[in-house]
Amino acid sequence: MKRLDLRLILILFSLGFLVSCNNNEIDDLFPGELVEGCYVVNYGSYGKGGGSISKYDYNTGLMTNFYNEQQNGGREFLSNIQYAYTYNDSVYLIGNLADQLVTMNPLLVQSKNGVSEQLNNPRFCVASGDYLYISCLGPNPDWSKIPGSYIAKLNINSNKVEKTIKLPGGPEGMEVANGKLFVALNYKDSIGVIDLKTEQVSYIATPAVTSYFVKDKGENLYVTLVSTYNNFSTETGLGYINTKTAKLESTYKLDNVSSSYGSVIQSNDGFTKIYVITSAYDANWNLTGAVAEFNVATKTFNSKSLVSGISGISGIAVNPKDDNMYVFSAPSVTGAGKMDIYSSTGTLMKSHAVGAFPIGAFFLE
Amino acid sequence: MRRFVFFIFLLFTGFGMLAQNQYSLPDTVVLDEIVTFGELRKYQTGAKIDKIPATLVQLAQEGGIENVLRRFTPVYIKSDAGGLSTIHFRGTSASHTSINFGGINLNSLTLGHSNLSSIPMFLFDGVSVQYGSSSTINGSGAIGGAVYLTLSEEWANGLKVTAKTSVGSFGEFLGGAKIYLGNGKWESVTRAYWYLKENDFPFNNYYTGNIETPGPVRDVQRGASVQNRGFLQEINYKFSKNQFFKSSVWIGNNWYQVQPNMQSNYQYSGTQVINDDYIRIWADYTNNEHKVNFKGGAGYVHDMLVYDNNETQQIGTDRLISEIGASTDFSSGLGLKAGAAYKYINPNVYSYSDQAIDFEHQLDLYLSSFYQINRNLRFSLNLRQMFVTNYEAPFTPSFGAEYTLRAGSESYLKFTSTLAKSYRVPTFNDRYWGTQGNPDLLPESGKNAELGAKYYFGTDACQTTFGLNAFYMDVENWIEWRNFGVWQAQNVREVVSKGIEFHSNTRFLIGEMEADFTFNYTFNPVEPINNVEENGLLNRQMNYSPLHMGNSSLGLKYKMWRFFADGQYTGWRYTDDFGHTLPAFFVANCGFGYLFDLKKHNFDVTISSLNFLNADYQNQKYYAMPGRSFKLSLKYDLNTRL
Repeated sequence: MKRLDLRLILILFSLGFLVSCNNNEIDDLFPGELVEGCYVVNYGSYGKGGGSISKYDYNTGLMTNFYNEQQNGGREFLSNIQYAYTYNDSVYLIGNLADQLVTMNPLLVQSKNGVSEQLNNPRFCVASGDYLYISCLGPNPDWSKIPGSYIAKLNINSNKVEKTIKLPGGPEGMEVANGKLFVALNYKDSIGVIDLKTEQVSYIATPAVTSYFVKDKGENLYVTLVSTYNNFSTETGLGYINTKTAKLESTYKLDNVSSSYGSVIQSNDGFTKIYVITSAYDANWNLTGAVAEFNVATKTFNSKSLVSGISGISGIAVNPKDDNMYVFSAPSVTGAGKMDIYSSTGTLMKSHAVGAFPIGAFFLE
Repeated sequence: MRRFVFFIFLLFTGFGMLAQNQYSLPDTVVLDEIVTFGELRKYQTGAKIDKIPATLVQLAQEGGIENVLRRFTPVYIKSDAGGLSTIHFRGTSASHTSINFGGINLNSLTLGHSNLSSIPMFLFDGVSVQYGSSSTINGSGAIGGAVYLTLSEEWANGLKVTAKTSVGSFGEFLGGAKIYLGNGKWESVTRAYWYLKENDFPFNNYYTGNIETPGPVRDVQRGASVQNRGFLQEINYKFSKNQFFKSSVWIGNNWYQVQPNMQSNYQYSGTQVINDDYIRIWADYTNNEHKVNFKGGAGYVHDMLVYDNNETQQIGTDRLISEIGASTDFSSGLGLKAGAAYKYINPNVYSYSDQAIDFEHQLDLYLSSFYQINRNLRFSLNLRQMFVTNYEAPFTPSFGAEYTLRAGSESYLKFTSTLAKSYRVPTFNDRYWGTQGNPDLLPESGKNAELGAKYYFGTDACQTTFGLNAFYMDVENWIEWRNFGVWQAQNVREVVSKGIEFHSNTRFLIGEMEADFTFNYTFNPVEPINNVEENGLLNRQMNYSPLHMGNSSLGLKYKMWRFFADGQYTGWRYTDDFGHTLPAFFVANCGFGYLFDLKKHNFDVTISSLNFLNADYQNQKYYAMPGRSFKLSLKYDLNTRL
């Protein structure tokens, strides 16, 4: 009995040690004080590099440009960063030229090679379970209709694309809801819907082509309806999709919704407000950007833009901690972009120079 | 850098060894015309215009004219290894140089510039370059410089055939022929060429993105093929020595793949192709028989570019052009020329709205004069006013002066000075592209001041020139495309470019050996001094504008043998506003040739090596350039009198 007690004590002590070691290991890997911050995605110059991540510590106000190089021994990011996505302690970066998916840990350290096989002109990604779905335009796209576009299904564990699902029409932003993958089509007046179990594709007709989604607390979606050169439309604004029925239930008109590729729609943390970037000529015929505010409760856009007069607006992000808006602008692809921080009421608080052509940001805690 | 020093040492060692024997020079050497004092110079006193010697042009006939300009002028050519290269005179942009053939400015009216790789050197017999502003002569766009492509004026009397074929590394092939047929009055000159380049060269790929096994890998360039072909037919008639009619029809097609950057090449999955079809017709009549000389010409230009085989997205223009001018020399010291140039332009661009632009008229009126006070002092004055449909172009004057000082019986010194205004009307894309076109753009406006000194020395044994120019150029309302929520052309900067250029050319004989040595160096700070962007670049060297450039060439001719070597140094360049740079690089070429006759048939065999020091460099960041390559050329000449 005494021997058993000793064994039991030893086993319990060992288990406790192991468990505590494990906990410490997780804590030490990605300590919050090192990770927490806003990470600005700078696209760079298409095919000519310049893609980077700037880290903004909103607690101290410190901006570190080319943070990804600092974290990776000075190694530059070789692709233009089209989109960044966080999921299960990983940061996934969608790269163009070279086309690849790069996986980083929350410290923004890349420890394994990017995936490029079966990823041609990747645009966006979203995860469900062990899979990452990546929208791709396909090799050498015909820019009028993008007939060869597809969704690549990547197994996160094996880091390999297991299959591709054909989806013509230029898939852009995506969201997973109610067991379906909703895909905004940027070259076709529809939203693609892929049943994640059967992988059957269906479509929701839309009055304009679409670009990106935000998901509400009830797993329903708001999507940007945009007018583009190839698909002109006056029916721009927001569309509301009931994801259970996979139907476009309502549209909310807003002129001059930005057709840029980047973060053009964001919600606040409580999903009471949706912010949409617009771009239009002002009274003096100068092209300027603005942030329109959509009230989710009243289903209306405020008559006046929350923020306006931003030249070269290129993206928006909302800090989930304080609902401050980070509005990005960039005049060129080789020079410094700008990040303006506004309160949720639209008061400019701070400005910082960031990397080349910022298109959005993600937040880590 | 060590390679550069070694190469310069070799060149100067060879030069010094040759120079030791200069006192045995025979008296048969004639210096090629280095500066064109012809019509081009007559009304541009003080302008720096260099003619690239024919012997050098012969060395780089494969591919586009960028090879000649890169190797033998101190002008920066920004290019990849494939089918795209643009010219940047004195730190200006590609659209600040006019490329002239006859009465045609070859620059795309939609883009505003020329792709030099698509202008085949083989078709032309000469290239001259003018440094600095020449808008008063060449019209809109000639802010940084001008390139003149010329055809020989042979007035063939009999049959002359020149054929050339070259095969080189990385799938390079040139096949071309020029057939001159005439009786001294009538002349037909037919020129045709076909140029291929696979561009599958090996290179060290530093950008694999492989972080598990880092380090460069030996890679092979893919997706950078070039296929160009063209045909140029001249029909000329000489009424008399001073009265003639000339016409040329130039039809061609350029096709090339858009070279992938190194990181994409490593995971190559395909690339885009550019197809460009063009027709360029120009005919002119010259009558210098009377007190008032007359010249009139007309032409038609068709350009059609298709991106990636997408026929629905064509970018093309058609233009009818004409020019008339009359000139008279009141005396040998005073001359006047007046003329008008007219263009009717019909764009055919998929993204232009017919409501915005259906056609455009452009009319230039110009007046040129020279005044030679005495043998030593000469002035010129040029005035030009352009009129454009729904657009206001500025009035543009230029003034030049030259003072020649005899320094001895065999040498003289020439001092030159020019003051010129220049301008560029925004391109069609700038003004009419989709919903982003900006018809409210102001024209770019430049001011150019230049001082130069040139020393000439010539004896039977040796002829040499040394030239030093200092320039200052201020370009306001510099146009670039910027993001304002959507991308749009805007007047964003004021840029000042200044610097010095040194040029020398020496030709001498050593026994039976003829030697030719050239050296060019440019120091060119070019900075924006005003910028409408809050975080925009200011008071720093512009991106892709080398501060230092230099090149040198040595040619030796001994009986039927020729040897040549040349090298080009390009200084470091900024690649972005954050201060990232590309290192300097030095590329050297060499070769030898042998000329032999078989009865009336002349053959010239040349073996050359390009980049023989195997420099590993990038001209544009992330784009691979070929290492050492070899080329074998065979040229055939037949000259018979009918």
